[in-house]
Amino acid sequence: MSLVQLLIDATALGAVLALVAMGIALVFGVMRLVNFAYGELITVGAYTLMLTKGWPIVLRVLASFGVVIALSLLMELVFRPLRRATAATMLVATFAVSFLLQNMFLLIFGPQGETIEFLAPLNRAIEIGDLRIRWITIVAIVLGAALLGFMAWLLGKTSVGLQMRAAAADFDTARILGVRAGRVIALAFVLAGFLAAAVTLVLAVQRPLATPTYGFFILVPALVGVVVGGLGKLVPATLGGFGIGFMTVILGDVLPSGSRVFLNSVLFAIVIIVLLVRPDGLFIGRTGVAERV
Amino acid sequence: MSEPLLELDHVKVSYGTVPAVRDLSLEVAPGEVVGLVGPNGAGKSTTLAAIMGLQRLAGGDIKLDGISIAKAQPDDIARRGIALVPEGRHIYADFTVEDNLRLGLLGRSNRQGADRDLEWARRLFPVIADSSKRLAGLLSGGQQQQLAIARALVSAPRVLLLDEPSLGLAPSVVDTLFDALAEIRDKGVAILLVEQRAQLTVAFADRTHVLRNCDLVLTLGPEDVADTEQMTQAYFG
Repeated sequence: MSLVQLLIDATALGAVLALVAMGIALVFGVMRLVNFAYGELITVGAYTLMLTKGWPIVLRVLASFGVVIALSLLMELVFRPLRRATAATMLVATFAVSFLLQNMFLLIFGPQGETIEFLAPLNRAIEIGDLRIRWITIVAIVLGAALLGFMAWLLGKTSVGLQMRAAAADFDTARILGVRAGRVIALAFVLAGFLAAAVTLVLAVQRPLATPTYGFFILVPALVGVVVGGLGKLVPATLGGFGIGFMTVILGDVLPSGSRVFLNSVLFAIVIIVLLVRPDGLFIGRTGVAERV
Repeated sequence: MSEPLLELDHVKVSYGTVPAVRDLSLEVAPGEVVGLVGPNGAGKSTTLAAIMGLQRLAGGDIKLDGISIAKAQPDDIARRGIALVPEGRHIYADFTVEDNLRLGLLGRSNRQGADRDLEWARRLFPVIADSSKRLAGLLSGGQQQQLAIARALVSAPRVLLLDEPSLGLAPSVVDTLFDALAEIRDKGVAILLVEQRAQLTVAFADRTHVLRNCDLVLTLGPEDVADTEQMTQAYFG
């Protein structure tokens, strides 16, 4: 495979995982909650696309965005009483919600998986010289760049973005300045749901079989990316998600074909080394701004 | 004395079973400065946190304009016109000076007069105007304190709570700070000032309450500033 081809494919997976990582980091920022049930938002989006098979594309997309964002808000409602709980309590609670939803999907849809049948022609490739680029790869990169750009604008340039960043950096100070805590947290869950729904659209084309653990398998690498990048801050966490996706594709190509089964082992070995060297995350400076007197 | 704007009525606060403030009553009227001094752990910061809604009351009541705010949320209390300059300043170090000030505007009940108040804050603390695009974390300690007060001011507060604003500042900077506080008071803002520098506070405030071991033990006026014996007595029992 040519280097350019490899880089394009790596960027595409990186873009998808960057969006997932950002969704996780948004909620963590304002609530210090690592939402293990985030993957189930993607799963529910996939099932929504599956259930609306006969509908026009636009309606299917709108329906999945609606359902995913609604479930995200429902999660906020469930986690709300835990705002002041310890990190461990919150983590276990999100595990519980994750497994509850997975088993509900299992009960309703069974373990086999159902075909989603969503925009399958996007899997066709265009050929430029010896490059074979699938349309969905281009869609993933463009969509990822557009959404990351939108989020950067929202957080960086708008008043509501400033409030979210303030709440993430120092929650109590934000509240005494007049930031409405409940509203900011709800908005974080809406945006996280929005990103999950967008990711679902790309995944539904690439992996057309909806199963109860559909989103869980994308959550795990994204979560690792978030931790490697730096959990506490949005940009490092997003970069971490991108890095994991990117590395997965590169390693898949670099490793000899007999060793591909060890791809995850190699990836996680790198993660462990990174965390040993930079426990706060790869993209977070080792020392913060020193306190001034 | 005019009608009190902020009233604390037999306020009790506990951390678990440990009392932090036992039975505190005080009043602050518009254009008045009330000091709160005392040794570490006397309950001064806890009192401010309780007024701001960050700490729930175990008993008693806190009123603004005669209406209880004891059960209100901090953001609601901010919009009703109380601003806190917390100990350690708590400015957003990674944000620009400008963005820190913009956050202060959130506490306003309406946008009217926002530009005028911003201008006033910038005139009061010129360093804020000069470094609006810089990251707040790069300012000196004194400049950060001025930014923290400016941020509170642009919310157009009727009550300003300050928690040890002079902590760690050079004497000349402290003088600038107290000059600014005097101007804020003269605009009719009610100020509740928690300080370590007892003598400075007693001289500046209309009344200064001395807290010790969670209790109000003594109230001093500016005329008592020379009476160090009484103050030492209040601090050490």
